[in-house]
Amino acid sequence: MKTVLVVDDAAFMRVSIKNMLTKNGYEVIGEAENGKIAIQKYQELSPDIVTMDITMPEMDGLASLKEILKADPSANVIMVSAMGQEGMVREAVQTGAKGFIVKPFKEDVIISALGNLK
Amino acid sequence: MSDDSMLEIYLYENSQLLDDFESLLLTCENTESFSADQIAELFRILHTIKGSSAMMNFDSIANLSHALEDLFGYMREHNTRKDDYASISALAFETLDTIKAEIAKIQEGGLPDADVTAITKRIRDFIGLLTSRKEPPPQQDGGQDASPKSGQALSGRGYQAKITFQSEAKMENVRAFGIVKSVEEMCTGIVTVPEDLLENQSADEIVANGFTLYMMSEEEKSTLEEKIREAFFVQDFTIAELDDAKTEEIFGPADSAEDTGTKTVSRSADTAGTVSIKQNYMSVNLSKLDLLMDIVGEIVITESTVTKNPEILKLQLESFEKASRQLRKLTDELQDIVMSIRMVPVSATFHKMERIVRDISVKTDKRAKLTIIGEDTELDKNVLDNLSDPLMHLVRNAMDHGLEQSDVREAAGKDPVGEIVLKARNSGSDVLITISDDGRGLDRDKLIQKGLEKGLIEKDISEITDKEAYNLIFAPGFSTKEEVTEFSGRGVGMDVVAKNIRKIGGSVHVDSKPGEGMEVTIRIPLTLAIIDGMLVSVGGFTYIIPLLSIRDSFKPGKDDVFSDPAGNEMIWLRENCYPILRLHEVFGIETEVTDISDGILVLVESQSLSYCLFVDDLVGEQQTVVKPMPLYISHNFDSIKGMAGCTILGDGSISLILDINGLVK
Repeated sequence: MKTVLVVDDAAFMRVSIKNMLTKNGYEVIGEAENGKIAIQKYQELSPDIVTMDITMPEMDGLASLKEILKADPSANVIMVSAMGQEGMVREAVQTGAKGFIVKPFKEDVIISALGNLK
Repeated sequence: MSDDSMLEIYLYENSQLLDDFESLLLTCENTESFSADQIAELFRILHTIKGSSAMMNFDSIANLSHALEDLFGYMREHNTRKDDYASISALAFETLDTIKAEIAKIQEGGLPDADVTAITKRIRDFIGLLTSRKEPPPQQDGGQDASPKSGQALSGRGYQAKITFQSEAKMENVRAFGIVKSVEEMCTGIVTVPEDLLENQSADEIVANGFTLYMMSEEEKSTLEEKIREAFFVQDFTIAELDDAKTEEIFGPADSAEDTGTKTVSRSADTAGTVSIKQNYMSVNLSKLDLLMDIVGEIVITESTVTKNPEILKLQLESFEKASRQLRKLTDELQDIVMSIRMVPVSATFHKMERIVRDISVKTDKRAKLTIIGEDTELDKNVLDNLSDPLMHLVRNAMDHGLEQSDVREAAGKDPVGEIVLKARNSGSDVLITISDDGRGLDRDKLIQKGLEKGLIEKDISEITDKEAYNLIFAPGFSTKEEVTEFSGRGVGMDVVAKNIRKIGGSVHVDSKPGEGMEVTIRIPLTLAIIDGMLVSVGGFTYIIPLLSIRDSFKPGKDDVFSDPAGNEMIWLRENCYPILRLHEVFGIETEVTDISDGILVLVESQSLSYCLFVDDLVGEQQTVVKPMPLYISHNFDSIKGMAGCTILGDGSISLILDINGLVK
């Protein structure tokens, strides 16, 4: 079972994503509400996959992505963004995010995105 | 997890976000400035609301927050003129209110279905207006066309890849950009159609015509193919080798390698500077806390049932004593913790008042500021929820009737900006909340005259103290309003405020200095569920008098008591005369103690007057858990006069808690 760290400042989004993933055979082993905590949790838990919100307090998803990749260049990070953040998504992709999904999304979208990862 | 609990999380989280948004917006409006940090925070909040709402298919809320997000997004990237701030906050407040109304609909089980096109259009138009002014240079949206590594000569074969994305993919231009990025290392030349993948309009073009990627590479076709297949949400994908003519048409003569690195200027929002203190909170369903409180209450009772069990008390059990002491200590701690869980700071409720002050001052053209003191003071959640309405009413009242217009204030030599102070502090086992203003104050003569008209005054006018006169405003049916205003005049008088405060066990009184303002003080017990009580016996029964109401208790002498002409018993005590209420008469209990000198008098203080209760004897002090009267009792008897509730005593018997205010009504 693949393990996932869900990063989002909105508890609602974390629960949503967790529900969708759990239903489809992923194990959500951790949640983080900002980029800083995400880095800590990533080191602690070494999840297979990270879903990363972009706009967050303390440290945004982009900065967190960079730190995570610095520590583990093979990290599987998928950005979770909203329309209007094209610039940041592009930077994330350039930095090394494995892909991105756009809010609002349905269950099959996030599952197909995660399924795409090797 | 069920949809209902998802909805609960959604509502909880978004209500909090809206509150944060509102207080931040108020700060901005008050200081007439939008700092970069504040804009970033406002933007972030709206962004989060938008995301969650879109997930829940609450389109109206998603659209509203999206439009407003764009406005703050614009402000984040451009300087805005100070004279625009008023329009911006007006728009933001209006949007905020609409979102709140939509959330309220959801809370009441409905669907958010407001037509928000008009307001979103106004926001968009406003953004358009700002943009058309072409003020300070927009921060460059970074980056240039993605292209292969610079300085590398074109070499290898030409390939053409055609890619379409799945319908739900979104941001197709960025996805295409990602693909370019992924193959870039393997290519010596890349040309894309559409050309500019940084332009968001390209997304529509890709949706319509697909994305075509021409690559010049020394790699095998299969290697490129494999790489591109890794991309997300690819619907169709074909790759083919180009013939030489086509290759030259696209990539030009072999030496014209484009020389543009793929540098993308970072424009990540600088949110790192925003100080946000997130504590380790979790939300718990309030009903669970109520249940926990109940159980702890039962434990407290059971603890004394066990350790004070008459059968055990007869025995001399040293180790049992020790163990029961430890048990008592732990139950005390448990009780303290459970109580503290239910305590919440008054700050959120207090800050809600800022909005009221703002709205009224905009509409009435009175200038006012709200000062909040002691917002960390904590109150039981249930108590605080019930306090919100009375507070709102008192603040409205201060704004409407207390504060004068600026010109009047200036003429009186006061600061043209009125001040309302909202203050909370602990005082023993109570919390004191005061709402004071520096307005015109109360007019004693007017109040008395009105009181006479309404038949609320029975004393001689010369005997009425100032305090009594001022507190007339809380008397039922009394209102000093000369005109009904939009804000205070909603048919709710100050008597309702007083009633609601009494309902949560509090008391309220007002003081004033003519010309200098008035001050309303609300006194509320920290928590209502567990009280210290004095057990008193009457006949074979035990009653509990809340310790807070007791001023004194004493054994009267026969000669201290006298009767007034109507036959009511009274007693002189330290220069004051108090009526005596015989509990056994009130409740019709037979007792042997009927002679006043055989029993005990307990001097209690109610809201309206102090009086003495005559009881057989004092039994002792005890902490009691207040339980409401069982439904079948409160249902079958319209009013259980003088009863505040019941409790279970240590020996398992039931005892009634006296309502000191209710007994004399």
